Amino acid sequence: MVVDSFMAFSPERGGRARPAAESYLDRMQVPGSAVKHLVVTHFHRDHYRGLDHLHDRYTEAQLWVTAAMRDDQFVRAWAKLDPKGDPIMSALHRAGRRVLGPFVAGLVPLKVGLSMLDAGSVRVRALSPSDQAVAASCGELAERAALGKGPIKSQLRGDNRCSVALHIAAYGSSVLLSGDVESAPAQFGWSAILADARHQSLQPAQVIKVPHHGSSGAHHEGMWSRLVAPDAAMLVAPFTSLVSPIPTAEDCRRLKSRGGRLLQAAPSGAAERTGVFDESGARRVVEIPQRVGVVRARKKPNGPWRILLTPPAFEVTH
Amino acid sequence: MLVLDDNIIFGSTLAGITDTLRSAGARTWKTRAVCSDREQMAPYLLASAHASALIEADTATIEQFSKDVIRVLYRNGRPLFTDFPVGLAFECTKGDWLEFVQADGWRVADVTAPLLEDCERTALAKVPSAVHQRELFGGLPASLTEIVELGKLRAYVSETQFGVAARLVPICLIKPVALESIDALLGDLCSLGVRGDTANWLLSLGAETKYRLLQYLLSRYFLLRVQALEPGVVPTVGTVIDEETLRLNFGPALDHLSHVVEVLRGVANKAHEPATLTPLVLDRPRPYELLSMPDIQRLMWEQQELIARTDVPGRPAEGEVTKVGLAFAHAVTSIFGYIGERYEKPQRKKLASLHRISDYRRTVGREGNARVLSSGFTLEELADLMALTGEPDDEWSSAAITLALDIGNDLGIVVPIIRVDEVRGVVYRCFRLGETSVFASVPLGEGQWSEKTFDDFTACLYRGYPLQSAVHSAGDLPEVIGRAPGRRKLRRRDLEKALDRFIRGALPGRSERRYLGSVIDSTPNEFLTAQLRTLDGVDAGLFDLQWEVIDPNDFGALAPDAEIVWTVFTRIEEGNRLVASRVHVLPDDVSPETTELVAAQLLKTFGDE
Repeated sequence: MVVDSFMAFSPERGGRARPAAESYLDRMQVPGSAVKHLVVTHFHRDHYRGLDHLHDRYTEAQLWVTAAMRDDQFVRAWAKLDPKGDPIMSALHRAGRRVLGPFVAGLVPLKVGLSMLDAGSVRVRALSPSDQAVAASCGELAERAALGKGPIKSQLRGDNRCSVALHIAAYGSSVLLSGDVESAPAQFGWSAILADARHQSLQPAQVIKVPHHGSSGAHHEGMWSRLVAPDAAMLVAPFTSLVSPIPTAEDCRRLKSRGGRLLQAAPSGAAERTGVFDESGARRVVEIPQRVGVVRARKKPNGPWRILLTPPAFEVTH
Repeated sequence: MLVLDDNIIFGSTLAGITDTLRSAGARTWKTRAVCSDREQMAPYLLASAHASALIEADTATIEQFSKDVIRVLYRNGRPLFTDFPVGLAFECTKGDWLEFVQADGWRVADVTAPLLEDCERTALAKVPSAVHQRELFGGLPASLTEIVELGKLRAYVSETQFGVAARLVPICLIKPVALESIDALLGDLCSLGVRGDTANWLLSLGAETKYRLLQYLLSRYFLLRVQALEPGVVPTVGTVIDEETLRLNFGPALDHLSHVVEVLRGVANKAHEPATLTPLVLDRPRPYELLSMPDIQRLMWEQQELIARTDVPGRPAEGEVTKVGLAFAHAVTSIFGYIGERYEKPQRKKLASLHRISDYRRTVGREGNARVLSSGFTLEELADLMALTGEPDDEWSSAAITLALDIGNDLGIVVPIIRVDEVRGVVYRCFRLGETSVFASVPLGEGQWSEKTFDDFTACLYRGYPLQSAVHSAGDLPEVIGRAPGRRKLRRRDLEKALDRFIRGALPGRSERRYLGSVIDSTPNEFLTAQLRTLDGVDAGLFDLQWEVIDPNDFGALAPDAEIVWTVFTRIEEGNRLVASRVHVLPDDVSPETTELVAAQLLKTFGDE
């Protein structure tokens, strides 16, 4: 299962870009036929770039997308944003046509309640989004859509209510892939996930992909105490395309205080305006690290979790 | 079995024909060609096709021969349209002709190919306005109108003793179609009243043939509707069917085809509500592989910049004709010439060095899919060349790119082919380089900054072909039939200087890198801050860009959230490396009608999950 996608420069393609997940799986010599699910947790580009390429490559994979992307109001707003058809919409369309077997659709909308047992021993549960979150998010989007493309973009940019969080349990252990779920608003974020009767007996995760790049807005004490084991390994992917990249040093301190190991896939990037205008008339304000690190968490059925880092991924020590 | 060919350059087309013959049961065959290229041909491919040629010659001679073939074919009135083997031939007075050109609801462009002007024939393209196009495709099931990308009439006209002789060719370009949809589309077509045995015949064809057939039938319908709706402008008799080509495309069962056309004629002659045509293309093949090559990407940026800065064919009003200029037509067609020089010829050389057809198959794949010639750009990919100037809702900007393709097509520089993308399960039409791509093999930027000799196409400037597109009154058109549009010949040195200034003004060097992104903030007269990413979607960071790098035409849209494209150009002058930037704002307006159409299409496609 590949959860979310982004593009990275690839040395093996002569410096051209390819989906980071594909490079990783190729290095691991994972055959394409072994990839059974591709997941898009939500509609932000840093989570779905390259997904169309992955969908072409992994021809036996089912595409799971946040239910919001299938909502009428969302689709209408999206159509206004990109009347030619964004590659992700085109990929959704193809996934809808992909028939993987009797009664096995190629496209599955993800929302709370979806639960799947794979290979007889891996249980995948979607903890979010709720129907109410999708309705609220898409309703507001429709209102903004009436105002023009700018308001649609800003609405989409700031909205994580429809992000999917996945709880994966296998061989007595579990992992929480928390997407970009935030703590607010209470009726749709972590509070809502925790209040759901279906989530009362979930096994605390030994490995967590930290929600929303470790931002303070995604911090929820109940999530950490009920869904995450005290010494869980915390994997955080930085978000560098902002004037204020995350996680910040303060975010890292907060996460470290939980006691487990904190592993970051790459540095967050510089936030200060630096540099001078060069002869092309441009200066870089925030540098995005171009090398993509890998944080690998592996486990044999009866063994412990092993964490492996490929630079520039690093363990946060302070 | 005897196979006749005009010209064997390398031999891979013959290898494909050999396979077809073998799979069709042929046991012995011979191939005879007029000439073959002794520098490029692969002897083992010719041997496998039992081929020989009357004349073996060097590449330069063969290229000249190919150009002559194009000219000779053109003398017959129009180029050979294998995908559109139907036309309308008529003669009329100049007054009637003018009425045809000025008919309401059409936009007309003069796309006479520069190298063919001495043939005393003018080539036009008539593109219906968006509203008229919807009328012309009225009456068809919605599923069929949804795959229409563009309908147009090509017209080849020459002056006669009594007025004007014209040949019209209806062309309907259709979008890529999913393999599993194509039978449903034919089923919808049959629901118009097609007989059962004909319906069975339609469904028995292969996917590529079905796609070609849909393209042909929609073109026929387009012409039938024009005849039905504009009887005073287009004659209702005089249809010429190229039956040989029809048989080559669809097999011997032409009676089935005639029956479908009669059904379509019955529908076309009735009054109908305008069709719904959506601009959305969801069934896409994978991107053309060469588009990811750094040099092709850079070439595309340069051509895009060149078009944006110098020559966007203006949208003609009713009663006007746009003469497509060299800068625009060359910007599009020379992409194909460049690919011919940089990719096709080296690949031929490599393949020619093999010794056995089995080695060839191993190298290029059983179907020859690894050949440069086996694939090409979709219309959507080429239409991106207009991205810096086009308005998303403007049917003219998407049609304009096809005008350059018309010119390239008439010259044999560009060839449309139908392909199947097995991974995405899509059958589609794309454009690859033709045998005469050498006509336009030196893009203007390349000619300028690498000091290469300009190609045949560019040399037409010396004979008076206009550099930039211009809109004329249609009333002037009969005056220009049979004459080169620019009659004033300039001195070569003056032209070279003018061309030098022209290209330097448009392209400040060779393109080096490009970013896309959104404007975050801007400070009047100082700089704008933008969040940028590479074209492959890798985040590049936040940048400040000085206002000096912004094209003055783009100032108005530098508002927060505007989508911009930033290109960096470099050049060497007197040993110094000079760097320059260009920033453009991508068009942002979408009409509510378009949004609604696209949304409805998207929702429909997700509804059948």
